[in-house]
Amino acid sequence: MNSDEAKYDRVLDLLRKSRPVLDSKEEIEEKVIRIITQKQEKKEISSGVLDFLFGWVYVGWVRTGLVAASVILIIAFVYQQAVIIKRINNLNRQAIYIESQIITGRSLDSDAGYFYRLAGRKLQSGDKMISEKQVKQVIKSYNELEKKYKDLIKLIEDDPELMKYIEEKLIENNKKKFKL
Amino acid sequence: MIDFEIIEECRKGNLSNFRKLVGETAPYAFSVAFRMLGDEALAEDIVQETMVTIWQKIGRIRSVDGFKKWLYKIVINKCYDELRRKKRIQEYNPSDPEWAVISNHLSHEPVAEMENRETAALISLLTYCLSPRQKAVFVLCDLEEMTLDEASEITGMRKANIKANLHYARKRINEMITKYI
Repeated sequence: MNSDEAKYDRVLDLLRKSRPVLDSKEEIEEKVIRIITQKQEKKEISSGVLDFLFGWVYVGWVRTGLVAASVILIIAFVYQQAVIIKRINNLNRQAIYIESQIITGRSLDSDAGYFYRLAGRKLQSGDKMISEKQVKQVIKSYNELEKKYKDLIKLIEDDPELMKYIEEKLIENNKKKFKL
Repeated sequence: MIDFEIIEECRKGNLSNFRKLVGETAPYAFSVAFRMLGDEALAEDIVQETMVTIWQKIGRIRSVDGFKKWLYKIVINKCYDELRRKKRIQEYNPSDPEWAVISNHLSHEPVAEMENRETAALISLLTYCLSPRQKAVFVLCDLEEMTLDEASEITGMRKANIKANLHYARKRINEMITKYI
């Protein structure tokens, strides 16, 4: 045996003799028991909920099946709701063209909202259905619009120069339209 | 070491018996973890985690022998995880007073026992360049004095692999001893 091997054996002997001493054995015991107790308590709470819901089923595999089915149904329900909400949000964001007007779903104006709802339904020109209430609403909004611009019309009629100027502008606009 | 009746009681969910089991087995688990990691606090954490795992999976145990091997297997695997996580590759530099104590121990005939701190320093110095597998084989075969078969069952390595890893570990440790001691 050479000196290196002897050294190795001495070191190994020293390490074998010096077995590590666990000083905090009681402390570890306490900690382990505490962790296990806490985990058991958590488990009991979740199993208590399951017992409350499915405690009336005594056959193990039937109970497991019911739990699985209920989880699948809940997931399907949540998914369906999410899809519906997404579609509604998309519809709200859409812009709708009515002749020369652009009405968006975000408009707070009640009349605009009415037109939006009215035009939102993709009806064929031949079979548009409008209720009496909707006709009344159209008339009401027309009257409001007329009232709003009554003063403006009066002002234009009183001032011949202004009237002439507006007429010229209208003719110009019409010409442009024809050119286009 | 362990009474099978205690294991049976633990399987039924008896916590006071499990406390006894922890008391009896923790020193063995600590010894392996300490020698693998060279760190007392980390070894204590590994023992704690091992005991919780044992409680959770104790239903799988069929015999006392099986339990011992299973215990060591859990400890070794947790030590692997810890060593991979830490990846301590930097060279170990023993502080002078620490090293003087270790040299003093080696100069005595017969060699005297060391304290945990000194043992940790010596193990860290000798094994820092070994891979986790080589460390495990060295600790189980040379320090815990297990047979190749036992080490093979615990580590999941083939006997030929155990021999190869052990040979390499001994060679590197010999180099370290020649260099430092």
